[in-house]
Amino acid sequence: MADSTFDVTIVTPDGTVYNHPATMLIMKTSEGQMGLLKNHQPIIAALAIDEVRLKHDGEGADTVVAVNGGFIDFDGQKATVVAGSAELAGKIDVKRAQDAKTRAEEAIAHAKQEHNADELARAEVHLARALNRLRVSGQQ
Amino acid sequence: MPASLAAVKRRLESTRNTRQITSAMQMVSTAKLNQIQGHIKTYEDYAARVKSVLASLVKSHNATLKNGVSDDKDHLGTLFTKRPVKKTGILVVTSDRGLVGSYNSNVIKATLDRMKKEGLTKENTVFLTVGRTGTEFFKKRGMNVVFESTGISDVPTYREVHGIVRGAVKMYADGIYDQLYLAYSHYVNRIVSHDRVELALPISAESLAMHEDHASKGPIGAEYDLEPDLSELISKLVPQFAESLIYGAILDAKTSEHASSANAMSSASDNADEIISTLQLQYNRARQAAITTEITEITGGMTAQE
Repeated sequence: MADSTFDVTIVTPDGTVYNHPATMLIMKTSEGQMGLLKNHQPIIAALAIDEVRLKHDGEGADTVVAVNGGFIDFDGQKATVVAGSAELAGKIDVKRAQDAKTRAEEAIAHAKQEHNADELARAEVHLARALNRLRVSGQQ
Repeated sequence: MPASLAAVKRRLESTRNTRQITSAMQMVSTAKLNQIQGHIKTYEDYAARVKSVLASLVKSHNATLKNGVSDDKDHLGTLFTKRPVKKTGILVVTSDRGLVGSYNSNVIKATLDRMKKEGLTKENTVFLTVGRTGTEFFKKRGMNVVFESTGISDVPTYREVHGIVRGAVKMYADGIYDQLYLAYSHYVNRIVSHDRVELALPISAESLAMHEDHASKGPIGAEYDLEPDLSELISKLVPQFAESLIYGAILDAKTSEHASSANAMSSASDNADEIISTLQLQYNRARQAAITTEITEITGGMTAQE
């Protein structure tokens, strides 16, 4: 089989989370879901707070990574995801995510009470992140 | 030397104990320094990628502007735009604890010098402080500390300082201040640190251009798909870049803190060594004197008995 894999690197300020080849990368940009194969048109895209799924051509299970925003830089041969934080599904601390979810929900309730739009927006982002982590970890 | 044997011995032992503690602390600081240096490498990798992509986006943005509409930088968003400065924010990074030599006082002094130079006063400056020493210093002087953060771990993770980093960028965007300085100690090597007070926001064209040499790419070519469009992508990337800058400053300061703590502890150990050798000499002399006196007494007694 022709080599259809390309290198995927996921970098965060706290280290490289993932650095392996994959055959397909599925992500959700701010516009919608899309998949990348080798030799896809080069693209730079902003990512949503969601999962990045890496397929390995039937060998082993997909690798699922929870990313908190960031962007992807793909030149056809090599994909680099640069995000503030990213976690492999297997490494997510479910309890911490649960706590974060509870805290975010409390903050939302509080912000709504005080009509603080800023705080509300921030808490909603926190909630989205926590939910994303929980969802991704549940898939593994 | 008149000091009594027991007194000298006690001092000698307590100095030895102190020396043991300082040399242990030196080793701890050195270990932390090594640890954080490993972490810095991964951060630099991240920061370099953010910078290079943003720089190429901005370049192609400027290129399209020249071909088309007016040369208006406002498209790049608030973080780039210079606006009249009414309030200044200063983010000061100091340590939580002492025993770090002149680390804290140097940073604070550099901050105050810069304030004087720029004509900043209590009234038109707000402070964001990381570390207890700086927080207490500025609060005690009645300065306006709007954000404080203490108890940051020895090797701060991005997640840990995300609050203050986000807050700093957001307060700028919200207009709480119109420019942001970062005051921290820049780590040069294990012996040398430089105090830096630098303008972080608004992002200057130079700070991006500075990194163009490292960026492998020029303006992003037409073959690139951009999603969403260029200016929106830039507006999403710019905060990420600003946050990575501030996080970098905090990391840099922490590194420098460990280095100066290791230095302070090593010179404390050296001093202790010096004191120990002086005391040891005193102790030996006092002991010798005691022995001599004893012998004189014994021989004196013997002579008396004969």
